[in-house]
Amino acid sequence: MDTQRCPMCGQANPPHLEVCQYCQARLKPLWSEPPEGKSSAIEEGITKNKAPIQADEPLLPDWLLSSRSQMTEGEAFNPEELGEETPILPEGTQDREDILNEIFSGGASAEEDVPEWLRSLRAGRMSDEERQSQSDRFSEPEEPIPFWLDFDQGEAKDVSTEVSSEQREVPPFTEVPFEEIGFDQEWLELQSGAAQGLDLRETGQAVPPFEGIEPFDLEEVSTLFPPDKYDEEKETEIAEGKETLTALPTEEGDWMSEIPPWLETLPGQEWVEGETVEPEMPPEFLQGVVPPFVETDETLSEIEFPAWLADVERTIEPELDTVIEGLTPPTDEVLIEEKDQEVSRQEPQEILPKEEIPIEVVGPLHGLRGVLPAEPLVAEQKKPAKALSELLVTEKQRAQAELFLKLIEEEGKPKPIPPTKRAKPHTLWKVLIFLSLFAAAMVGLILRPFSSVPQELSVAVLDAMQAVNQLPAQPTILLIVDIEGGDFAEMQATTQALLDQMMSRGAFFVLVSANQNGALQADRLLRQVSQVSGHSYQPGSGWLNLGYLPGGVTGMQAFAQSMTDILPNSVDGEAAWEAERLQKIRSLADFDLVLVITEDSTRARQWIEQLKGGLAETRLMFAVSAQVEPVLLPYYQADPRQVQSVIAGIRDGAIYETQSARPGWAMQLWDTYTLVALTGVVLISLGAFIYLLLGLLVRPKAKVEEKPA
Amino acid sequence: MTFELPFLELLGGAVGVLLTLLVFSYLLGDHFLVRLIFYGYVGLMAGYAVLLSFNSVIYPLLFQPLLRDPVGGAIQIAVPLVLSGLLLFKVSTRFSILGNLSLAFLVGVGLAALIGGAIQGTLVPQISAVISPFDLAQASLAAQDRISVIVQGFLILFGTVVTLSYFHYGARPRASGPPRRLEWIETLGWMGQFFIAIALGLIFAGLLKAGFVALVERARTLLDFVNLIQQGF
Amino acid sequence: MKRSFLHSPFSTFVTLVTGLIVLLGYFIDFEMLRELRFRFLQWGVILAAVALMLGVFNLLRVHWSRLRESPAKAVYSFMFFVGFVLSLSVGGLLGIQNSLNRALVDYVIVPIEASLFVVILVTLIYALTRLLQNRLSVFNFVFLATIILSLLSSIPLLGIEIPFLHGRDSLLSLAFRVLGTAGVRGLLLGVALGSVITGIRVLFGLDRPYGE
Repeated sequence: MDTQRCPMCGQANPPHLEVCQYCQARLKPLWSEPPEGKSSAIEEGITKNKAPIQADEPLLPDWLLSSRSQMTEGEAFNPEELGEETPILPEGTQDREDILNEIFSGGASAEEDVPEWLRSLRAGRMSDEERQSQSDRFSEPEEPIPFWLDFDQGEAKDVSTEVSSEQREVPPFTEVPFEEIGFDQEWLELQSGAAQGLDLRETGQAVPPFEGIEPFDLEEVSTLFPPDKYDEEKETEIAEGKETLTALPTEEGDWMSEIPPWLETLPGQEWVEGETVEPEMPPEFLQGVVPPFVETDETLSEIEFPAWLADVERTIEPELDTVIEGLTPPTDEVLIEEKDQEVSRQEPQEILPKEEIPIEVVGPLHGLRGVLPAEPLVAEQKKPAKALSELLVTEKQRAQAELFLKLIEEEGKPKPIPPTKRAKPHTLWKVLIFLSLFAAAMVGLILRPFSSVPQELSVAVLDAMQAVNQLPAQPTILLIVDIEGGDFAEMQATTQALLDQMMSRGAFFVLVSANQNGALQADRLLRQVSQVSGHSYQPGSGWLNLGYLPGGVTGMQAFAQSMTDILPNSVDGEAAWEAERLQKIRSLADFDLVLVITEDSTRARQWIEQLKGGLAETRLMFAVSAQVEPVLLPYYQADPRQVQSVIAGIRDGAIYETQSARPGWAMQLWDTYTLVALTGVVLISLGAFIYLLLGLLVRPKAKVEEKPA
Repeated sequence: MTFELPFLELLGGAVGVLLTLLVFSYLLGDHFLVRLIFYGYVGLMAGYAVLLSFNSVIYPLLFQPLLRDPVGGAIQIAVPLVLSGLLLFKVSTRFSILGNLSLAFLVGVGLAALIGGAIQGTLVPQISAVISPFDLAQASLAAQDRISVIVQGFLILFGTVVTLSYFHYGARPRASGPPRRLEWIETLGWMGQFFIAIALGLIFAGLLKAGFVALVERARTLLDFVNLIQQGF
Repeated sequence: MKRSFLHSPFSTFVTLVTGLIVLLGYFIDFEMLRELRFRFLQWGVILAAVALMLGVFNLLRVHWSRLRESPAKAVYSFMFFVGFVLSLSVGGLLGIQNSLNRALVDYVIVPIEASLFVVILVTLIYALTRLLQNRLSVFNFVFLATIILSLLSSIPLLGIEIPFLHGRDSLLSLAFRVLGTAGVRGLLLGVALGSVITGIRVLFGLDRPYGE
């Protein structure tokens, strides 16, 4: 070969030039030439298809690093040295076959890596019978070995015996992954023929241009033959004492240069036949598309494939994915299963001690050295048998595994939350709020009066006053009291003047409650109002407490339909509706007024809904907590109104007392209430502003801290 | 049986003040005494629940008819008695399934009452209330008032619609990404949040107002007790 | 236990029939239907009362077991029983409207509940002050501003009433009345629609809160 092609532009250059005369690209590598017999095409292939391997590449498992290192260490192929006898193969195929060649042969480098235990095994542990049995077992078709190893035994042996250290060309490896994949019938027949003893070497035909079968890139090829399996073969052969590793077949170039007859009939073969492919030239269909060895984003398969190859590719892709999945590094489960069978096969190559173990740089394992090799051991989360672990892992790896296990265990354990320093200031802030409000209340109670009574005319209050004024003398009023003790003060302030006005008219009250506490509070409310207003209302003569109405809306609806049947007795067990003042009361409509007193917006809504239709809207009033007012306003403001009036909170109560000129409970609390409410507003405004500022100050800091993470 | 007020008032006032202060101390943190108070309070309310339920409903509706007229009463209360008996099986884990019939009955009745009330008491009147400001037949209003009512009615109609839009959860599936609401509904819902924020703000403010009154009442009670002590001694 | 007729199909049927009768009786003025509806409602009230007592019984059982088995918590359960017996005996023997029972309400129940409400008030104010720190959004700001303005508008500022803030006809009052009513009306309609839809789902057995 008197020319050399530029790896960048593909133009031919004189062999003595170091720089391409067309594109000025370097033609010869700067580094020293690899040892003789090694293919530099391997390195070129690797660099062409993926990033170069770095010794301290952190994220790769050791088994992959080792396999890569084996490949890169053996980069010795120099096309110039091969001269004219270099097998006529496209460059990509050459790359791959060199790798396979190296995998299937046992190089000196592999020999150097043999550990002590294996040397001892070789030396004397295995008897001849054992070796024989191992060899037999290894070649048994029934043995559950992966299919990529399950190619024809004769072929495998042929390959292993025929390859040389100088020219480790491999027979068409594509037979291997294509096994059991749905090829068409013709292909299968051919394959079976090959399996029946077709020896490529004996055919004397040129090696078929398998460059077309390009679905595998080098990475996939490397995973197709994991180093442990390769080592198993290698070790077996070593154990058998075969000298095939050094014996070089002389006819290798011949069989590689000829196409076997079974391949001539392959579909798509026509265009290859009859053409002379020059050494180191890309196949014709690639010429003009990409220069040889030029890095490109396009893969070969994307550029121009015959249709049948594309079909094959599509067919094998799913299978290939499965294969690759199955080609993960050998797990210890497999090894454990086989531990009784042969010791040498139990020893995976990747667990050999290494000095250069990568350090994790990301994730939770940051800073740990070489934890990934231990993954199969650790991920199982079970302790392997002692003898096996001693055999399989080094002390260093075991320490790593234990560390990894400890890390995993720690992750699963709940950690006590350290007491936050914030809790105390927040408690103090709460106490400060309370003390401020309480102090304001005490000041208000001691120093009053200092505030002004609300002078406005509330429409709702006027409506209520009007409704009460229109009541007949000695009216009978139904009081529905759904309040709790917490809201009692507010409800008393709200209803004091209203109830006082009713009492002044000699009203008789019937009390009912849809919650248990309300039945108790209703009695208390009337007592308190009566006491504050100077009436002498007593149970029996002034009111009748029906007690508790259970069932929620069911009870309300039943009560609205027939209250005498639902609650026939008073809370003290007396017949309720036989009282003198209730002789004429048999339904809701018979009451002069129905007043619902509640601090619960849901109850208020439910009462409106369930009382609807039971009585005229003009006879339904609500005296509620300030929190319920917004909910009732839509009912009150509707046209027509659904309720006659809504008086809400202490403000309406104070207005009512002012308008009726009968100061009561609301006015007693009003001054103090205004001061406390003002204090509350100040606290809310001030606190919200301070916390907002704190939040705005802390937030950018938090963002800055998050960014590096 | 009655108790004299002065003694009861003094003792009760002391208990009330003590309980008030202990519950206030909960702001500093949970402690043994506060827990005791809470457990005792729950016990009190449970006792009242039993008492009131029995006095108001169970005795007059289940036992009284039977006492009044054993035969007629038995017929009258047969069904609720059986249903109540079945409900008691809910206590047992083994036979709790027998209580399902009673629960199914209770749920059916309760839901019917809920649906009927919601339709007749809220849905129809409130939808009508949204529309009514635009009723031009309201001749009784003066022209200026009518404009004001229509403007307010429009604002309320708009607010009601956008608030309801916020609760519209219907979403359309998209080719990329999760299902999403229509854009115009999203916009309306976004505007609806303003009205919801104002409505909830008003309700929350009402809650604070009620709380302020409760605080003033408690402070007043404490002050009254101090005055009572001063007068007594 | 063998799958019995009390399982879901029959229970669903019972729910559907009772629900439809009560619902029809609500809208259709027919004497027999109305009577049947009332009977069902009355039985429902009785069942609700029994269910309440059943709940209390369960509470008693839990505290009884804690009293016997958990010495650390026994004192709390003992306090529960003290309260229970006290209210039952005082209210049951002397009557709800007896002065001793009233004293129990006035000096025990109301102080506890009112004081708890004050504690809740303080907690609510505390939460409000941290609202914008936790989440700064325009809606939170509107919410907080509404609360503050509503509080301010309800009280005279140390005797001074500001026209914009105070009074029923003030701008703020009008704005709150209109905007608040709109928002609440939307919420009410949403709640009512949700109630109807949920009720129909349960009535027709699509949801079964009463068990399978």
